[in-house]
Amino acid sequence: MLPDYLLILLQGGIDPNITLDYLLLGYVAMWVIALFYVITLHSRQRNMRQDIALLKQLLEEDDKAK
Amino acid sequence: MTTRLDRITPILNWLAVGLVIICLFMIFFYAPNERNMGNVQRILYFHVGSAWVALITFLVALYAGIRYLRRPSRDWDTVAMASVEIGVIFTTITIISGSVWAKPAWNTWWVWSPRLTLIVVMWLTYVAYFMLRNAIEDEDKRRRFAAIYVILAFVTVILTFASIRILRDIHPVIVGPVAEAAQGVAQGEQDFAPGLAARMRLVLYGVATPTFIVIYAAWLANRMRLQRMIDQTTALKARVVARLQHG
Repeated sequence: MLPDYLLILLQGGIDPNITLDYLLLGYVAMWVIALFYVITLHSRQRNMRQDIALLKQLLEEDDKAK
Repeated sequence: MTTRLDRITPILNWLAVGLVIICLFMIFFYAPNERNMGNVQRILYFHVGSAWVALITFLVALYAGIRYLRRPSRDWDTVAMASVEIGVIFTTITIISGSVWAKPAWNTWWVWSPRLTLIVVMWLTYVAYFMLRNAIEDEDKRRRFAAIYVILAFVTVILTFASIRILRDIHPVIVGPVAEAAQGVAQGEQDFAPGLAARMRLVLYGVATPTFIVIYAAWLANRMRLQRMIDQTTALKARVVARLQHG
C-alpha cells in the first residue's frame, strides 16, 4: 500500500482547478446564508435587550413616582 | 439571573467557531482531490453535512411536537419552532450548494428529479409552518396546531431521504444501500484512489457533520435565548399597559 502523499500525486483525474469557480461560488453562497441568520439572531437579541431595559426603566420610574 | 442556557450558549458559540475553522482546514488541506469533478467536490462536505443536520433538526422538532402534545409546555414549543427555523436555514444551504455543485457535475443548475423535487416540497412545507404559526392568534391553539403540523410535516423528510434509495434519480447516494430498481442513472459519483476514499469519509463523517451538529446546538441555544427575551418583553409590555390603563 502506497503512502497517502504518493496516492495523491499518482491518482490522476482532471485538473482540479477547472471547477474552482464553482467551489468559490458554492462556499460564498453558503456563508452568506449562514451569516445572514447569525446576524439576524444577534440583531434581534440586541433589540430585545434594549426593549427589556427600556420597559424595566419605565416600570421603575413609575414605582418611584408612586 | 443567569440561567443554564445563558452559561452554555457562549461555550457552544466558541466551540462552533473552533470546529468550523478545523473543518475548513480539513476540507481544503487534508481531504483529497476527487478525480472526475476536481475541487468542486469539496462543496459536498458542507452539502451533505448540512443535509444530515437538517434531517436532525426536523427529527428534534418532531420529538418536541410529540412531547408538547403529551404534556403542553412552552419550552417544547420553543424547541420545535427553533429547530424548524434552523432546519429551514440548513435546507436552504443544502439546496443552493447542491445546485452550484450540479452545474459542473450534471451540466445544469437544476433538474426536477424525485429527490430535488421532494427537497423543495420539504422546504416549502417547513416554511409554511411559520405561516401557520403567524395565522393563529390564540397562543394555546397556535402551539397545539404547530405541534400537530410539525409531526405531519416529517413525512416529507422521510420521502426526501428515501427517494434516491428507491427511485431512479440523477442524485448520487453517498450513504447506505440503493434498491436495485433505483440503480444506474446517478451522475456525479465520487471517484478516489482506493486509499484516499477513507480520508474523504473521515472529513465528511468525522469532522464536517459533527461541526454542523455543534452549529445547530449553538444556534438552537441562541434562538431559545431570543425566545425567552421575546416572552419577557411581552410580559413587561403587558405590565406597562396595565399600569397605564389603571392610572
